[in-house]
Amino acid sequence: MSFVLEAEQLCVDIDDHEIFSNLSFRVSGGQCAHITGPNGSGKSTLLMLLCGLFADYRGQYRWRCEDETLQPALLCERLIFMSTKSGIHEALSPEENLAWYAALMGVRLTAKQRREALARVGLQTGFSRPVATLSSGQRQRVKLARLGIAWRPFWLLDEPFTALDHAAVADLETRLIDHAKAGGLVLFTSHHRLAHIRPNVKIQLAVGGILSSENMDVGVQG
Amino acid sequence: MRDFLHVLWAVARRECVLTVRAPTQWLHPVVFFTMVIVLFPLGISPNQAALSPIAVGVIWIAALLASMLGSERLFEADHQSGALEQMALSSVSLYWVALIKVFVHWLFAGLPLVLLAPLLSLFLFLPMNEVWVVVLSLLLGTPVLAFVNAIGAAITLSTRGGSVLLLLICLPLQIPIIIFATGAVKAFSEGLPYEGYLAVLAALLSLSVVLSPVAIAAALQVGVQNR
Repeated sequence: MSFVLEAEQLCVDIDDHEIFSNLSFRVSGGQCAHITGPNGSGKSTLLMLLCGLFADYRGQYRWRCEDETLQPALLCERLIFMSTKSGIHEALSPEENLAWYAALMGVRLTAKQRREALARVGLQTGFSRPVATLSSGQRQRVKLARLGIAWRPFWLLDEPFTALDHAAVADLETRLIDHAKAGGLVLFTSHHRLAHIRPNVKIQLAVGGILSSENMDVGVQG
Repeated sequence: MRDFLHVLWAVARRECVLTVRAPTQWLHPVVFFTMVIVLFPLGISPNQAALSPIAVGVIWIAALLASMLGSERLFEADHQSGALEQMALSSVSLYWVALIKVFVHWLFAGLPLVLLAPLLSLFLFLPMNEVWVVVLSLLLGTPVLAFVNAIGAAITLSTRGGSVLLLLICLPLQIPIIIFATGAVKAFSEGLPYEGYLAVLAALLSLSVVLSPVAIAAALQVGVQNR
């Protein structure tokens, strides 16, 4: 299946203050898009907008699958959105959080599958301890475990590398590359210097609305 | 359909687990309700002539105020943690999420008030034959209070210090409930037809179950956008 995301002339104003304007870009399946920009330049807003959670914008964007534009209800079934907020509850254990999240995605997981998904992000123990007792890096891993629940073509990840140690960062980079290689479409924001990923598309945001999007036109490299 | 129910079940189970693990949130209204009613005989005078006429009013005012406690935090944790975003992105609409959350909240913070009312009415010398009407009016009325409070909680989600605003939004909407509920008991004690009052309460309950999640879901959607 081929997937494309097209944005045309996107503009967002919050309280009469321009966040970005005339933002156009195109990302297709098999590509990684890296959204960069200083704090407050609208990276998170852009990701929320693209998954349909932000209604106050002008311009257009389309998610397409096999040349058909996806309606919002169908889009929900195709994407994983990870915001800077954790989306996990501190009083629940990693396993319970994951089970809840899987249910929202319409997936039933056995206890074994849940543990595998957690083990894949390097959480080998503490499955049933409340998340409140975990370190911030471990919480980030719990968040990332949802990427392994089911295959969804669109990944929108806001600061996925935050609080991770070096090994986990490298591991996540490989994971993003693998996802793109499998035909998925990855959009992520990050301030990190990336060691492995060569993003195909770079979307540069700037405070004051100066921005550019650049299609590097190279394969994702491992 | 099975997937749909599976999601609803997961949301309901998560709510129940979270409520059980944070007992202060639902114990607070219950303790408040009990304390207010127990303090009345001490504060006024523990004799039947003084307490019996005001018993219904006291029980209902205590229930109304108790139902407000903690309700402003109904969606706060999920909003701040980002769980609300994820629910907004799931295949199930926020309408059902709101309905379930409010129902579970009522189950823990509202139903105990209904169950405690017969016991606490002894403190206020409520005539024994009126107790079941009070309980029935609470059973029909407290869920409406919970739904109205939830609308307020959802609207004030992204405002700082929204609890005053919450009071201003919710109290006027709750006045009819307290009027019809206490009216039912008064009518019953005077031997007048009281079924009409209870029917109005039941109608308000049906309306709030069906319609308030629409308002709550719309407000939550705005709340998600205003991080």
